[in-house]
Amino acid sequence: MKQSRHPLVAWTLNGGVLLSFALLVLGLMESLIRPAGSEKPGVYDIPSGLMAGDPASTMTAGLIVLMLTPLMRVVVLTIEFIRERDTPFAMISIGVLLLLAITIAISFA
Amino acid sequence: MPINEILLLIAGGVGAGLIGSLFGLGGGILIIPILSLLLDVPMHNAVATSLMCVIATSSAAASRNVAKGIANVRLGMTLELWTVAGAMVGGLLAGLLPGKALMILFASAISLMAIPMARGLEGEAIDADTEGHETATGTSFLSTLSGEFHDPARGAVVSYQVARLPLAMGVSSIAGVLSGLLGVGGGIIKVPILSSYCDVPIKAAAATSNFMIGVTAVTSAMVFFGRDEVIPMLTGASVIGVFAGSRIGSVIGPKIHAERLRQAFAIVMVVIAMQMFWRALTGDVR
Repeated sequence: MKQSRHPLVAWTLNGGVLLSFALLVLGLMESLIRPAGSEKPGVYDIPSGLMAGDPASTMTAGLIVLMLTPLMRVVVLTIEFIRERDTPFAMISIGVLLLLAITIAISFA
Repeated sequence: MPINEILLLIAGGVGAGLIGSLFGLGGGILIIPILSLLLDVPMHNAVATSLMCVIATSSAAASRNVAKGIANVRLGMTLELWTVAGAMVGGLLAGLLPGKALMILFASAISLMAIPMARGLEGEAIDADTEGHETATGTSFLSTLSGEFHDPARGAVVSYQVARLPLAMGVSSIAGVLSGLLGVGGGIIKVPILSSYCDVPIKAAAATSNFMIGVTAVTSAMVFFGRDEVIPMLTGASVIGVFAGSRIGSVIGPKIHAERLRQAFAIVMVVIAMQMFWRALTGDVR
């Protein structure tokens, strides 16, 4: 079976990595102006920290985007399999998403 | 965090990413000894950082492999069920172990990885990928995992049927546990098994493994993130360095004969492992 090239999946991965890298570099440049501590800011403090140019918040945002990138790739593939009515692989993708949801629930409980 | 420490992290990351890319070890594996031995970073923070580096380098490579049609997306998703379950267990298990135990496990793992590196087993696997196993036919689930891609090196289209799926699933779950425990991608055990025993050509095996690694690593990374073991500046600077180093490696790799350096690098891995064993047994490891 010829491998489908899944352009949307490739775009999601590439876009996510580039956005994350841009945020990490921005955080690094901010740290040259304003030294950052080693504390990780709370998730709810990140938007205000980003606006204020807080390097730790910008870095954390970059790392969160990085973690969301493979997750979004699974979501995109699940939608593609459902649209193609490819039931076995749609179910498998949903299974992967469920496992990831359980991990998120355990990790952030 | 002082600027000189940040620059040191970036430089270390570039070196780790470059060497990892040249020797096919992935981006994160060398960052752990750099952080734990040279910078005295606690092992749990070093593993968390390595996982983030793995996500960055594998996602970038996966995007290229998916676009070229080399990664077998259906096989990858099927095995991902097992790697993700393993990574969740590995990440949780890592939280129960002290840094000293993680360091000993990591040192043991890189000692074992040095063996195929020194013997060049990956090269043997290239030739062992096609013949002699039963193949799937008809409309069975296994037949939906079959693949086909254009290999420019052979100048031909390579077709294959996947064999021994239960073996691939078992190995994938072990790779997931190792990923969560040690901050590695797990490709070093998946790729040889897929290519040597499951009839997947090594290029497709490596690309499919890489495709899975991002999701595997993010599973354990979320567990470490939830335990507040990700230090933003340390991890961010390391990711920038490793990502840049691996991109440099992918550009200069084809131009230099890294194969000749394989055995020398295997020795370096053993020396690093010895130092980690020594530190874990005699020093103060956090």
